Amino acid sequence: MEAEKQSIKTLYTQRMELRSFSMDDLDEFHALCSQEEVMLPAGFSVSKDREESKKTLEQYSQCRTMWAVCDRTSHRLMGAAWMDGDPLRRLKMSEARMIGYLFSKECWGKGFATELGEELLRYGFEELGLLLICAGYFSTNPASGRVLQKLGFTEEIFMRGAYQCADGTITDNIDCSITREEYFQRKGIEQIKTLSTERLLLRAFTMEDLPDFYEYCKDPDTGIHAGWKPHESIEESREILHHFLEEREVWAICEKQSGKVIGSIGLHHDSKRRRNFDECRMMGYVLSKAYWGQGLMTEAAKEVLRYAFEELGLQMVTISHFSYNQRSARVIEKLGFHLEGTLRKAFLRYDGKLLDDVGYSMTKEEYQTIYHGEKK
Amino acid sequence: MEVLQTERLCLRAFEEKDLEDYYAYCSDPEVGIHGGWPPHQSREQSREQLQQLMEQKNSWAICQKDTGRNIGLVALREDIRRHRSPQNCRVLSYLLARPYWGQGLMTEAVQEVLRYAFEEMGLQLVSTYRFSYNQRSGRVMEKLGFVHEGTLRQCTERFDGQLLDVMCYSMNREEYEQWKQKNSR
Repeated sequence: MEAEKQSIKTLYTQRMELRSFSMDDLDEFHALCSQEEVMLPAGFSVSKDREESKKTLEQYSQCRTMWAVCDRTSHRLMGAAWMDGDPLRRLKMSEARMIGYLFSKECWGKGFATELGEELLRYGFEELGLLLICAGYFSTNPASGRVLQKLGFTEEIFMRGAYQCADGTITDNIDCSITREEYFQRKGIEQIKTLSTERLLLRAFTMEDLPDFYEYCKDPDTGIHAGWKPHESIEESREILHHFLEEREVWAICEKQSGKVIGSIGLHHDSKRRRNFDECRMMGYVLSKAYWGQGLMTEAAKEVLRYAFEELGLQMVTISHFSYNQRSARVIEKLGFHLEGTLRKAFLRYDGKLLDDVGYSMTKEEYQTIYHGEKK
Repeated sequence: MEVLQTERLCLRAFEEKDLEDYYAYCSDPEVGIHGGWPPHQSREQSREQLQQLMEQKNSWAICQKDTGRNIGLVALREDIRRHRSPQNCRVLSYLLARPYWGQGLMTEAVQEVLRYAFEEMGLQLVSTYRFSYNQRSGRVMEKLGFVHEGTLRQCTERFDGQLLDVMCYSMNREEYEQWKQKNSR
């Protein structure tokens, strides 16, 4: 995360390398910026002279949202690509972004745009964990529309008179988008559904979350309540995060304001434990100590309960805590779970201590009564 | 700022004396939810926004002619979703206090603002946006002949965390002229 703040991450496709711009690119960059048929359809103006190209390049080489697109073997500059805030949506950079690209004329018609687009989508959804990616093209440039269609974008809006170009002409813009769900569906990857509350976003983990994940997993006070040993190395966290990614039962809890991952919550299949029917799941969660006492866990758990009963159609959700974890007990009671009892000496902790496990459950009917005021 | 008149309404600049009326409709949760904002919690909050409105050109207070009460607002602002000069393209936004819904008042006010936009300000395009659940507003837009351009999915996050779709509309000068001809017959 820190590294991304300083410079843009280098990405690779089969034929291209996407890296940050540098002042060494000036000759090739100026040649690119002088091509009218390249610059205008992308909404830019043509560079008047080398001096203007140099100024633009200075900005781009500082820019964390702009890549130089180069040939992987010859290292020649082929074009530029960007992934910026979405100008149409009132969402944060950690939630939605707009992608765009341009290629020097001699690179046209060789499938580079599609190859590039696929990598940008992979980076945006799989590494940055975005909810949505949008892209637009001018109605005068239908070739771009075909690329977006191939990539799985949906045309959302034909915005009339949306853009006044550098030469004064006004053009219509067609805006397209692809959601996280659509992306993973196309790839045939089943993903946990993204949920949203007032302060939190619950989404699938990505490997980019590793530093945040390790930060709270290494804290001795955070893990001990769930019965696990604080992580001793980032390698240990990496393995567990891998497991989360494969299992697809766990959401990363992200604080919307900062985009930081501050905990996790899951709905686990309960079959190996106490109940063996498929419409029952066990809720489990953990929250970074720095965020305790603000009602965040209750907020996340309420939304997961809603999802469990109203969208997954479950019959029952169970949850338990170790007897000494009173903080969790309060969350569970606030949520309205029914106390079942205490399984004594039910769990052998890593340090050899035997723990009592306090079990609760909620049925679909109880959920309806508590959250929708329905009487039987 | 130009005062605009319709049969039942007077559209004028906001004034400090509008505070009570303004606070009354801004603290109504049913009004704010359609703009995606939470109801105002205090007069102070309304006072601050009212100050801003008073300074804005092209934000009108909608007032009832017979009572003089301020019952809503209508504005023509810069459309940040379009890369255009506000000299030829603006976004229309409006809201109306709940007791006045269902009487065609908003349509009456917007019709006059559109006349002003195209005939006096010389705009080329007027756009407007609404959340998909705001069907009342959708009816106003359709009655006035706005063209539905499309819907931006998951466009805005409401204060309660819900992601909302935004439906986009616009009207160009030709469409305005056509609509005017049709309705003057």
